[in-house]
Amino acid sequence: MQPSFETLRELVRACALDLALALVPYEVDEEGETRLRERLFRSPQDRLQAMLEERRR
Amino acid sequence: MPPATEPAFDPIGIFKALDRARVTYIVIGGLARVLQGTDELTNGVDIVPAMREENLRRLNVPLGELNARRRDGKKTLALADVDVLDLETDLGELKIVPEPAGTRGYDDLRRAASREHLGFGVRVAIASVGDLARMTSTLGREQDEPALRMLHRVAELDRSIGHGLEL
Repeated sequence: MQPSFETLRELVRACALDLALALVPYEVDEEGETRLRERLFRSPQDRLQAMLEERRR
Repeated sequence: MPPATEPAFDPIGIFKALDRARVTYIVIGGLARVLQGTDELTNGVDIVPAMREENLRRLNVPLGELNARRRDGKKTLALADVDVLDLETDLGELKIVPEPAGTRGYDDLRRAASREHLGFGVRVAIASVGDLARMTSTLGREQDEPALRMLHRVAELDRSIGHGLEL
């Protein structure tokens, strides 16, 4: 990630402000994650054919 | 057979026409993201051509074969005066992008691109996940946010698979 966190904090502090960090619940889209994992094990050829079939529906 | 309202889209036919003329290019945009694993639908092929004069001359051949015409109605198909040559062809949309946002064009993308078989004798160079994320992020369009999130996740999963880890 650019700029680094340290650089970003320095920039913000140069403007007389500060960064506030907060922890929030990590929400995972289980269905989307499963589909993504399945696709990654397919070849680009299969991914293309799947998209074209989906498009025809 | 697609419904009558569905615009034609035959990416393999477009790639075959480009390959017959021995055009050198890299696939980018929505189709490249799909080929890399994202979940989205697209109606077009976006390419970054090598900007050598010889390659640009070759590019004219498939554009003629595909009956390419500009979507803005202008007649010239020259790349000199446009950031993106946005074309309609008989086989679907074709965008020719000499220098995509956030990159320095073909030579920049070529280093990390991979060549993949798409069937029917077609093998194309596809921009890397990292470069696709860089381009999508630079465009800064709200509608690309889900695709950008997926690209980041694809990169994470690729790394974990590469290291034999299971995320």
